[in-house]
Amino acid sequence: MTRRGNREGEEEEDDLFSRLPEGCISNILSFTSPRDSCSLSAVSRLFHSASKCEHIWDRFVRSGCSGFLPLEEKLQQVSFSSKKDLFFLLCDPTIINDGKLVFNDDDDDDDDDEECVCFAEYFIGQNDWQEVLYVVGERASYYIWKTTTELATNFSF
Amino acid sequence: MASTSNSTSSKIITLRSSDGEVFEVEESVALESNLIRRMMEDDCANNIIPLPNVTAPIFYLVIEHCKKHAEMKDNKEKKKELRSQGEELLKSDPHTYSNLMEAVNYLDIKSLMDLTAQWLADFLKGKSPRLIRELLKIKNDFTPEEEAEILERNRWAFD
Repeated sequence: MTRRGNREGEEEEDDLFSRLPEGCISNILSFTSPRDSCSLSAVSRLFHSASKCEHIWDRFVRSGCSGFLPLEEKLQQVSFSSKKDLFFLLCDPTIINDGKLVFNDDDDDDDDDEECVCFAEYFIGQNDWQEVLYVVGERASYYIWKTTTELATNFSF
Repeated sequence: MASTSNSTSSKIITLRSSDGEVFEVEESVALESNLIRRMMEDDCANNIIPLPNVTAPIFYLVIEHCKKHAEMKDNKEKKKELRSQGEELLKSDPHTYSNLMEAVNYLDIKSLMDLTAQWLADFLKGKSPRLIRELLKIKNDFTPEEEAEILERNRWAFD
């Protein structure tokens, strides 16, 4: 059976999906992938706002989303205070060891350390998932975990 | 206009759409909607339940999907059939599809919310924002500066 929708008001044609609540859009995005969610955030203001919803990242974390999260069993060993932190943690499995953060202190390159500190400071002040994924997507996350333990205390793991 | 019932013992709920059409629906189908469930708990069950935000054509569609969803639970063929119908509707008439999603959300039917969201998500995957706007007739309400910033910030997602 095919039924046509309510056709009244041609101007509505330009406003398709905009009447849906933000929660509905974020639910849709949660069925995509981290990459698609970030790409779809550029569709409209509504999509952009919906893409920041924690529910989306909660689902990505739970599903061990492909391309980002290669681990499952280690999940149970990890303590975290929010889904954001968890997703953050999972972006680089090498940091996890018996539920604690591990930092690679064996790198004596000063320039590299300096760069690490910059990244860490950047991340600590960052509450925007788009920002986090932008840097993770640039494969910078590796450096973040090479920073000092002093800086690490600022993370609320 | 009534939905026919196969079981004479099933209780019938009467509902009225925003454009005044009256529907008689089996209780088991109506209770898929958490909104209707709450209204019945508030003792509206003996009266006609008004649905001011849902038009008759869309309500038909919702009921149809509710019934098919109930049938598909243990039936892969039905599941496939319902999915391809949903995809077809999305491609041929995104306006009705968005109305369906709106109604399902308003009626608070969790199973259909997830189902329609999943179909739409599959449709969106891998497509550029520009193409999605075009296909689904979504207005680009960013300023050029905002759009440039978002594209730059999510550059990795477009590679």
